[in-house]
Amino acid sequence: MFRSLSRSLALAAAFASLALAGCAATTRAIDPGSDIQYDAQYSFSDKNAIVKDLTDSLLNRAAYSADQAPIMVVYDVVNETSEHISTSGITDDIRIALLQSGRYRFISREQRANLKAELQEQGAAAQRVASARKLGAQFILAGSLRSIEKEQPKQWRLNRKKLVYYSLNLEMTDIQTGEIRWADKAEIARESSQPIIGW
Amino acid sequence: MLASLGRGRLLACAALTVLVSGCATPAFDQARALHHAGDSAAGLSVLISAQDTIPERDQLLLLLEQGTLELFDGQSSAAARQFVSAADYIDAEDRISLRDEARALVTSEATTRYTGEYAEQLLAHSHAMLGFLLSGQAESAAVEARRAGKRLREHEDTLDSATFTRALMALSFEMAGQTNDAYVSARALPAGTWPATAARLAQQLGSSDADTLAPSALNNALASARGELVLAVATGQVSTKYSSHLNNGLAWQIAFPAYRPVDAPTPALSLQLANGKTPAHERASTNINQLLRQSLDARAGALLARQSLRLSAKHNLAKELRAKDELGAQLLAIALFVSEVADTRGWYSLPARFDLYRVAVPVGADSLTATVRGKSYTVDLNALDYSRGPVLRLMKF
Repeated sequence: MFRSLSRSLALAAAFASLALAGCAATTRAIDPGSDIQYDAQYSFSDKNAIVKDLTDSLLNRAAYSADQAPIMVVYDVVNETSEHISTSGITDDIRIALLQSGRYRFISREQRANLKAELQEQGAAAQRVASARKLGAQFILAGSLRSIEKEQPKQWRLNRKKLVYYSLNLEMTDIQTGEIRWADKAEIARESSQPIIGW
Repeated sequence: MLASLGRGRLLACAALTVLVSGCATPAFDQARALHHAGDSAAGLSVLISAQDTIPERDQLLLLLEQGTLELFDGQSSAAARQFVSAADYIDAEDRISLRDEARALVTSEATTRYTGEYAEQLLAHSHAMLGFLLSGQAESAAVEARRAGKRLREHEDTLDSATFTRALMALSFEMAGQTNDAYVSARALPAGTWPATAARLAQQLGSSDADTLAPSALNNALASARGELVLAVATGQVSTKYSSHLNNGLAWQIAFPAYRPVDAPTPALSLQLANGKTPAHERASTNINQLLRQSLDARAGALLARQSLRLSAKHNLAKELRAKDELGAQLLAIALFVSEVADTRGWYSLPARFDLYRVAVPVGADSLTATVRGKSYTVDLNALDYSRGPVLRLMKF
């Protein structure tokens, strides 16, 4: 009887160890460039991918030599998605990538803040251009991040499927002439499936 | 099997069930009472000091109630964050939880995690929009407007009278400079609601619809006005739910939640400038009581199915025990009978009525007084900055 009892105890202990191991909190470093998705929502991997696509496109098609590098003002990307996304992360990364290329120059953070405050007060597009010109800028980079979501219609099923499409559109406008000198978009489409039944 | 569990343990479980199912969190009641009496700050203190005692199943209510009290206490940015968390919680809990289902099967709906009536789910987005707009974050308000649009599409028929939310969506898009979406939202309003806004947006877009929309007194007044004031007005106190029972003596009992009847509809307010004149304005209103009733009605079928399933489960539980322990079975049956109470939880800091007024502020006007049921609220029109577009103010009667 004792032998069977000790076997049961050993089995219970083994199961408990397995269960505890599965529940243990873990932390690991990951490569910021890796594509990791837990669901269909916008993630840092998406930000990295669309910023890279668009800066590559801009540098390939509208590049200036280092001695002619024009000054550019980058506006915040307008968030037109249904998620609370901080788009300043996108503009910061674009600014860094362009600056590191040596093909564009940017005004300081303080001047940008002053400009932003001025723009909030003025609003009108023509006055924005005038403000940017005042700072000696030659180009304005502006854009918007949009999303379209589609969910499976309500029906008997075990999983809920969701399709999300993101599009970041950017355009570079010549302040002097109003001409759009470059425009492009980066797109991401993703499908996710979540179980409807859970604990 | 049940007899081997022991009568004591079963009865203890049943007694606990009775306690849990009938137990409302007193902090909620106290905070709501203070809020409705006009002291949202005191209500907020009560809620914050009690938040560690709020059970996990009522986390959504904590977010909604705390957000409401913060909003009316002037902490609009913090309130917006609470409502975004509430909306995220609702999305995350939009699934069948085996834990909740199993618990509810032998107790009552009140033991499950509260995920809100459809109207409450929608109003979480409306309140988030208000919080963002009041704290100058129009782009975030537009994000919530899109989320509200999705919620409206999910429950189109149930939420068809959510005019206040639709108008707030139009305002959020407009203030974020997303004119096309603003126009689409304005056109989705019921006929005769905010016609001046729809006409103005159509004109801005250069739409041919602008010609078909009749000129309005508000747009004429706005052409020469100092600016535009938007008033979000919360009036009255929302109706609460009660547990309605259907039983066959002591044999079985089914409990349904129902909203208490409302004596009279909450009246609209009157607007008057210091010179006694009524300024040009337009209004979008929602009867929150009606919206909540429609939401509960929409769940009636699902509630009935769950009640039938629970009745059968409880009956079988008592029957199985009866074969081994007659007295225990009788006591268990009584405990299960008593535990059958409806889930009467709700977001009770809501008003009975929400209105969104767009008012043209004439040049030279110093103040505007809003009055309803003898209570007044005066806005100092000289203290407002009209240079960045419509100015939003929130008031509660």
